Amino acid sequence: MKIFDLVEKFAGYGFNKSHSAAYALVSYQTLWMKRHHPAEFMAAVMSADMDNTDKIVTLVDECQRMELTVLPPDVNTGLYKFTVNPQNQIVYGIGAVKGVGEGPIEAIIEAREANGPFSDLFDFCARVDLKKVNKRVLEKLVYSGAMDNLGPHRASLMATLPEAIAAADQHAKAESFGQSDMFGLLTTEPEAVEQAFADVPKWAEKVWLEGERETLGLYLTGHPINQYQKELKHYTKTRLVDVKPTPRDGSVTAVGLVIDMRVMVNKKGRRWAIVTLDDKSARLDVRFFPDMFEQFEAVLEKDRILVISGQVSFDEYSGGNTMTARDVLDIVQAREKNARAIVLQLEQAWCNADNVGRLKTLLSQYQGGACPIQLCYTHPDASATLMVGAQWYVVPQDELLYDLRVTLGEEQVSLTFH
Amino acid sequence: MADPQFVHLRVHSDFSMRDGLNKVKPILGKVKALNMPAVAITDQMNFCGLVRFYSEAHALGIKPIVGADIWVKSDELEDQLFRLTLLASNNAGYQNITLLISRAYQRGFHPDRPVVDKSWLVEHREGVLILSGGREGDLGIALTKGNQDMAQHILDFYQQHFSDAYYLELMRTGRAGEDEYLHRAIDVAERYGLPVVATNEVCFIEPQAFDAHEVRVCIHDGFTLEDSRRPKRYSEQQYLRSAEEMAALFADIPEALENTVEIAKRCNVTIRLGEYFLPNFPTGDLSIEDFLVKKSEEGLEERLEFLFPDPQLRAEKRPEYDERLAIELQVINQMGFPGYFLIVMEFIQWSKDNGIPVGPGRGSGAGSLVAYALKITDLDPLEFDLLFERFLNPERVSMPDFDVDFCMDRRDEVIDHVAELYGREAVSQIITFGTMAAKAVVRDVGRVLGHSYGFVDRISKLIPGDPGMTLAKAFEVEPRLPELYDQDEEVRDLIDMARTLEGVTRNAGKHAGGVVIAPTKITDFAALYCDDEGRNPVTQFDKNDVETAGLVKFDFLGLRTLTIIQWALDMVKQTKGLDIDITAIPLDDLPSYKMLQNAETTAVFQLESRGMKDLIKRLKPDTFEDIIALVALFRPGPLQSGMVDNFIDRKHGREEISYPDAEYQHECLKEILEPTYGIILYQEQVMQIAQVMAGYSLGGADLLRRAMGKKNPRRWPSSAPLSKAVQKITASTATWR
Repeated sequence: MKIFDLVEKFAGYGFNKSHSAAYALVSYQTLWMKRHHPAEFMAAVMSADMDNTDKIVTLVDECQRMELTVLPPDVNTGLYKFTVNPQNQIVYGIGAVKGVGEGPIEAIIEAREANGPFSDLFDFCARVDLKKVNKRVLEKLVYSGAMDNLGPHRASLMATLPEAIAAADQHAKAESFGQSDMFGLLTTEPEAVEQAFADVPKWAEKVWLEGERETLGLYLTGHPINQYQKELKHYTKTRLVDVKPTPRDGSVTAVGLVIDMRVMVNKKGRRWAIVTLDDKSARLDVRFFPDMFEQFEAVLEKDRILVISGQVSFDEYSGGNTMTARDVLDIVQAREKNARAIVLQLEQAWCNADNVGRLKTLLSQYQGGACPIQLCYTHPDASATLMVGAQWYVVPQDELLYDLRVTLGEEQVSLTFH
Repeated sequence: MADPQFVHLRVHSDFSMRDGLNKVKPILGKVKALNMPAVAITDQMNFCGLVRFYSEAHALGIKPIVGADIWVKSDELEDQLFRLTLLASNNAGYQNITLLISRAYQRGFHPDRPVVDKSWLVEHREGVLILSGGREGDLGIALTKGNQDMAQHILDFYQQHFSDAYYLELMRTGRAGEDEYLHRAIDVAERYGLPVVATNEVCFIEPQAFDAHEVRVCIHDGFTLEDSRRPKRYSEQQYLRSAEEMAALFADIPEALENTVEIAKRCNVTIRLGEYFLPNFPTGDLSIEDFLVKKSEEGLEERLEFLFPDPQLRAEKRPEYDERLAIELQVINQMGFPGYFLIVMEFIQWSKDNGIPVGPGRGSGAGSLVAYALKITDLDPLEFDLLFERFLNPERVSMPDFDVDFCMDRRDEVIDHVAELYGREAVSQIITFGTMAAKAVVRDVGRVLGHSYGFVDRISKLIPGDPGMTLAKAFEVEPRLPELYDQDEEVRDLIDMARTLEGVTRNAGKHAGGVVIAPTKITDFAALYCDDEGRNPVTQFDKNDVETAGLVKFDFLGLRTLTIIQWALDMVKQTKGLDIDITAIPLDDLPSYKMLQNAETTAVFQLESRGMKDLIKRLKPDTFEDIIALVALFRPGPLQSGMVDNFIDRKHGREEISYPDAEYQHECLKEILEPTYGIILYQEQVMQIAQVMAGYSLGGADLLRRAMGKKNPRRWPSSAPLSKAVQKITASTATWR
């Protein structure tokens, strides 16, 4: 009676269908919601995992894949939880801003519901109970982008905060003054505070992104890797999302920003580390076993761009790919290895003694590196390309490139590759 | 058996969470081995072990004496707490001790533990015998102090309220002050004509367990063994002494021994176990059975209108549903569970009315059409071949069990509603016990033995953190453990001690989501345990014992996904003005299946893990049946056995579908196995196969399935109608592994 053997075999595996069916219904309901009301569904899911940054990162990525816009938090339209605006965009939950608790958010929403949206930072500070929303909270809100609509830009908002708070203070005093001055006995008006935003330059992308990471746990409106995007493709063709397990002796090169690094001590008392790379397309955990760790410790640092080669395997435990590092370059080393030269476009008009002198001084600070400088000189009648001598090879640091761009102009400086 | 000489009336099990070492069962085993006819387990301020004590004692032919050690405070002694042992001489006494303990917990800690006021004893004296507590009782304290007035005052109290029920307790366990006390106590006994009784204040079974016991106490109190400030309250003589030893010890005071036997004879408590007492459900003029029938029929009508909007189709389908409903109702009413269904129906309906999301019912409840009609579940069991017998088996009487999921944030509101409806005294949550688990016990023991953090950490880190991990298992999976154990004497001592203490009850907590509803008051069934502020009452019986004691349990579980769905629905209503009934969405929505097949399932309940996504890509599910199968398939068993590959190949036509195997086709199984392409995936299918091929009833088939799960052919039901077929099956399993 063979059927019996089979029944016996499967009775062991047999699953309670009633349970499976009931839970499958919940799965189906979430599937259906995700398909038909994606913005609302994803907003709800993100609200439920508001405190879990890792989950939020995955979910924001998923939103991007689904072509849903996730807007930064907004004190004028956002709520504690993630919401969906009439344009079907997801508005970040203010409750997900680290360092901003339920109390302050309630105070903000209360003020908004009483007298409508806030017109600017001064209006905001005047109407919100600043005892509940203190300066530290205000700063977090600026960093997170929640105040973007209340002023010209984040740098200005931040610089204007003290004044706005002072003005709100004055305003409060004036009100109480007005009330006690029922009979008009006191005639002097409180001094009016001028409500003007501080005139400061915008933050560099790096600065505002750092603020987002500090308050939201992720880069929402950009990615620090953006400014490197052009050169990175010369270091590897593989985006992190495309990284696949390699054969046993195979190797792949990955580039990304170090967003996390955990250093551990193994049972023999030696240190090793797991470094998490992010290139906007995905993340990848890279293991540095003790030998590798000791060799590369100097460059392993959060917020650095690293070019790492190694073997990739699928990690059952984490359910993702993990790389075992064999070689690491930081961005300077990668440039030295891959770049043919830093190319400087020089126009005849620019080349006065003063400017050339400054350029020389600048380059001399980075002398002694491995990266050649190529000068492209343009005269109205002719142009010439010449390489500088080996004693003028430089260390191609970010700072050098930045200073060159400030001195020569953004378009005049570039890297060429082999 | 010769006349018994001695009965232990004061024994702590590990439910005395400070100073008891052994579980109830080994204590009873030793009592049996010592040939003692009776024993009292008197845990500190609780009855947590009572159900197992009572039932296991009966099974061993030992008379269980019900009682508890209590902490008491009185006016005379002001802040100094003292101890008494209360024994129940009859059921009223058991009830009174239950009430005393519960009241002490409900008042909150006083100051650092639950305490009974001496005056309460008077209110609850019926059926209660008191052992004076020896040196640590109020009389003992007064005598030790040599305070005659106070002693007199105390004696007056007991003589007035507990005449003939107050025994002067004598001990000889080698602890300081015992002798002095004993002489004074005997003196008092003679002068006042009070009975004396010998106890051994037993905290462990064997004398050699004393060290382990000291460690246990240190773990609780937070001392190290070597700490000079550590109070030394116990002696190694507090083991379960034999009657002979006790007789020798108290040869000079024979009445102290005789009285133990007298007390054992006086104490006769019967506890009704294994019956259940359902709370009443208000049903107006109708009987509860008729009310269930009425509600179910009305509910089915609504469901049928939803399922089959076309009247003609509905009329066609109706007989099948009517018949199933009638059968289920008959079984439910016959088994006496109509109240259970109605209670669940009520709180689910209340939750839905109050906007609290409710899940579709975990466990086997989805197999019941009555539950579907009553809106307890949301899936038509007929459409998906879900079997009622998997849920409620008329051939196996056991309580039905709906595990209901609620939105996590608002589950407490539902529990509160239930307490409001059935009465606060009738509703409680359930205790759960924390035991010393492998990793923790190594850490705790290491600390108490005074080892450095690093030393202990090195060992405990080797023990895997998996739930259910034991030291024995850890030694199997981690070779470095036995290695260390063999090499290092200190490690060996530590591990040996940890082994003794592993599994000992350490603390009590609240069982997540379990709620009991009593027809009268909870305290008619179980004592209550509360937090230090006297709140959050839980029964002192755990989830199994509380059911044995007759209370009906309802599981209120929390499921985050329900909250998420509700939030999303709320937003859809706000942004799009759409009012979606999520329970009424079509189960054959093509766009949803398309998204599923692309494995775009991040954030989709149960289907978002990487492994699951891989399985989805291979399976390409396109029906609801396939989604049911996904979860059933995505487990180590099916994945490793190749069953998943067969399933996928058959679905995509790469393997011929057969019922169930190409070598032995059974056309009669086609209907059963069609939804799973001929593969036996569900327990329900196993039951149906047994029904179709061997003539089992579905109830009998459920018993068969359970027996098969246990791999115990002897327990297979032989009462099935076609016993010949059963024999045939049994015979064919001679090669059973």
